[in-house]
Amino acid sequence: MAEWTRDELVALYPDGTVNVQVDDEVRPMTTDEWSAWIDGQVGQPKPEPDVLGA
Amino acid sequence: MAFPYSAGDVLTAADLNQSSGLVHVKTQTIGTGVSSVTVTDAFSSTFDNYRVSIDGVASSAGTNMMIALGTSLTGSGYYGSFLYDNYAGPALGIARLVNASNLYLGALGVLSENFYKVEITNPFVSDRTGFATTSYGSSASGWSNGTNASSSSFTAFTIGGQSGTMTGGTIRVYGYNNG
Repeated sequence: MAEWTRDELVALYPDGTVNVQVDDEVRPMTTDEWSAWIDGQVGQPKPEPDVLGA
Repeated sequence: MAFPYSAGDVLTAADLNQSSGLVHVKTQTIGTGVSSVTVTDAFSSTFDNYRVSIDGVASSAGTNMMIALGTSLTGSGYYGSFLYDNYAGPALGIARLVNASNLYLGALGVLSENFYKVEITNPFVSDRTGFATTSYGSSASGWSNGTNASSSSFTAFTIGGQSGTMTGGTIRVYGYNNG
């Protein structure tokens, strides 16, 4: 199963484009938050067609 | 006054309180392009058991929806199993968590067809918290059960995808009357 690489994730979700929400407040992630969020997804399996993400 | 009531009965606050079953606590709309949503003041001493309904959320990537108590998805002490079946294909699977940072709710796909019904036991009580979820998303039905093994008391919870961002949908929190 293919896994996410950091480069792929950065291309999909550039810094400044990802938000976090607490109740009604939505704000962009800080660069540190974004970097940690990206790192947390590296190595995770990509969805298989027709299994997840259909 | 004992339930059921009859025509002409004069109901007191105590009568109304004891006859309430599932009580709405709060509703939260999910924003655009968010990695996680924290719902604060969801749990309190008023109720021991809760139902959280999540529907209409879409993901930027096919992934799984996760939940954790508190204000982030990076907790600890989550144990549980997630079983899923895809009606459109051969996929039938299981995922297990041992001392994980969060718990599965179900599949989270790119279409806004994902929904989750989450039963949460004792999130505010200083005891283990139990989770029982039925879900549907991305052609997959799912059943997830688990626990948070800490004895901490929580007033908030956080949901988010294992990857990608979420857009749209509604989170509703209800409390079960303790009786």
